[in-house]
Amino acid sequence: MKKEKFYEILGDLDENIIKAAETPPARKAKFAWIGYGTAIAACVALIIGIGTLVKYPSDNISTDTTIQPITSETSASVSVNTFTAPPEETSVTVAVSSETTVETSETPAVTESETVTAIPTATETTAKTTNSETAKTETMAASEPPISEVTSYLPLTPENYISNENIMTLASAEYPVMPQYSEEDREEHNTWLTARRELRDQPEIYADCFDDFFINSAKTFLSESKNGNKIYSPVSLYVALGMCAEITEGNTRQQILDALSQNDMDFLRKYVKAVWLSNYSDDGLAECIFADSLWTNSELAYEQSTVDSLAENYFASVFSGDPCSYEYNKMFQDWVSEQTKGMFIPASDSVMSPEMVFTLASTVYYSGKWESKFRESETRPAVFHSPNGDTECDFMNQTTVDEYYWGGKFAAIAMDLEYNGGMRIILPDEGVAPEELFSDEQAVKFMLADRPSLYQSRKYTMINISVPKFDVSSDIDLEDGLRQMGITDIFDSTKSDFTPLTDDTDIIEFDAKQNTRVLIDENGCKASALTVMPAAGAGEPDEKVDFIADRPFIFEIVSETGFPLFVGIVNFPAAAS
Amino acid sequence: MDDKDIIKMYWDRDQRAISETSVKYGPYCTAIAVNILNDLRDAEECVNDTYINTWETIPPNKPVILSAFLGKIVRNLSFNKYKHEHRQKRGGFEIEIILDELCEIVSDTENVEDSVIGNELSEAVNRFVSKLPSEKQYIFVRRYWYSDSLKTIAGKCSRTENSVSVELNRIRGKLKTYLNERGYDI
Repeated sequence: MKKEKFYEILGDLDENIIKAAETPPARKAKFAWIGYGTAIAACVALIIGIGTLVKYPSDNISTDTTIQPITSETSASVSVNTFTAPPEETSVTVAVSSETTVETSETPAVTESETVTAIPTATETTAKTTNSETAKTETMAASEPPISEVTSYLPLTPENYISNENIMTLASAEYPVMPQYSEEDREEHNTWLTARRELRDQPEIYADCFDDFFINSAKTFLSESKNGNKIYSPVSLYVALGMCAEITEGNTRQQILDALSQNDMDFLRKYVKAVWLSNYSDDGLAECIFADSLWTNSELAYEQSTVDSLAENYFASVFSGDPCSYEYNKMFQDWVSEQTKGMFIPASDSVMSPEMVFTLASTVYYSGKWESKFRESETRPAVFHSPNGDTECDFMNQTTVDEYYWGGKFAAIAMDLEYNGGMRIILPDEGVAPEELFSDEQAVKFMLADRPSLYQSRKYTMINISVPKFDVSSDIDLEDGLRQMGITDIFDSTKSDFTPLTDDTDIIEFDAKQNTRVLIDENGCKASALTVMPAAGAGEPDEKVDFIADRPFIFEIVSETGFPLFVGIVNFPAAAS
Repeated sequence: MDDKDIIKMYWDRDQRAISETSVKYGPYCTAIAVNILNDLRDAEECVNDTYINTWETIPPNKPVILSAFLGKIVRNLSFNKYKHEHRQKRGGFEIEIILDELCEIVSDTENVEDSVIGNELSEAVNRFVSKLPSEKQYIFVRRYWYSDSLKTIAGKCSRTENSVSVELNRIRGKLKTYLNERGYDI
């Protein structure tokens, strides 16, 4: 079209819009949140896999390092890799959680080799594990190789742990350096825009391998959510499983590839790298930061080519250190906290297991600000019909003219987040459980659409939006779900094959969890109660429609390229579960 | 005088309608015309034509917002004049810069379907603009409807010219994406 013609078309703007531009709008105050936001969406996911080192009573393990003595009758709470999502009091146990009373001799200091040889089998450990609701006692069959003493884990302080000054970085991930967003300087702005476009331009992301994984994993990990909120990060899980495929071999790897709908490792590497790059954003305006790391045990040798591949294709930094050392544990804690910008702060007693072969951590940190902001003055308390009964929480309200989506069993809206994708809120019709929608063709189509505008059943109309503010977190043990998805060998010490990473030892325990936290907010203030109206059910809406998410709903945070970063079911919006 | 009274005068065929319009909206219309034509005499000519045009179209039209109604007429007339009389004398026209900016959204080549999609494209543009946050909408409309210079807009918004320019750049990018997503590859 000729530019003159388009200029003429612009002349046909609505008269109300023309009239509104006769006077300048009042300049808004600077945003309170990271300098420019009154409405936020932020979330984080964390996956950690832990292997357990089998230390044979052999002479070839010797070290001069010394474990700090544990005095007799010490009672310590074993809580390995415990993460806390501030500011809630809830802590999320990532690995084994049990109360253990440890009986040890008053030996002033025992060498590690002594510790290893002192206890021939796990069943003869001197540690007594008591029952607790979350206890997961480690038991070993008599035929299993001998395991070292179950060691109690004291709070992580320099006094309680050995010193380890030989922490090494085996590989460093090189993250993309993005030019910072500039509003004032046009040249800088163009540099920023160009870099951003180049990063998004990853042709591999259009490969047809994520959709099946998304649906299968969503059905698996978001089922049975009635007792709490369920959230997970499909993209984070995908990347983490890709890393698992990298460090495994044979059928163990094949099962992972099958679950990821991948045929070969080469394409998986390209694909994960493309997903990573096309969704990465850290430019001072939008944040979608992926970070991966592998923490290895300095007593073992690791295959350098695998380590390099993790760094190159998965942007994983690989570290080596003594899991019994203060410095190494502190470094791990700091890494998690730093990558998640404090959304997850490892608890002070979070420590690695001495038998750790590797710990794989994968995080996603995301934050954005609403394109169309919610006014604080419109936030009002209202009733949310949660599965356990009605509860009152703050609802953000907004009337907007936008696309409204619907299907046979749901209604939905899509709210843009500036330069950082958006959030889709899918409200099941009355009587339909949110979980059911993951098996509903239309709902799945809507969730998987790269852009909501690609979904057919939509109408541009006036929408009265009422959505509860929420801050929800979820702690998912991935084992059962991954087994359902056909990934079983990795959990079976007699079948798992981790030789691409190390053949110094066998992995006898594999543990994988994902912790996620999502919050949407604005600087709300409370006012009088809002009279809520039932949301419109399925079917084409009238000229004006109410979208009131006052019952359990699904949310999906998608990246700019349309990747589902986080998906969850909110049953209890008022507080983190 | 209230707009409804002026409109009533047009309907009553009372010629004072033109002078009342001139008193109330003369400067408004002139500003739009000057922005496009960069020449006061030409602008005044277009504004006078606007009054005549308005006299001829009310009735049967009954404007809801008189200023925007007049503005549309003067914008069209001024742009037509620019196209026919000024295009050859390139240089110094803000409108030229504005049109070049629009090349980031359109291909600037003639397509046979352009005349067919005009109405629906206009509707899509309206949807997009109506969704913009108020300040962005103001900047966009001042630039591409009122044809204000960056300096003028910056002054009205208490922003720097650069900042306005960057903002417009972003909005154009978004508008292009918005239209492309809806099948308008223009």
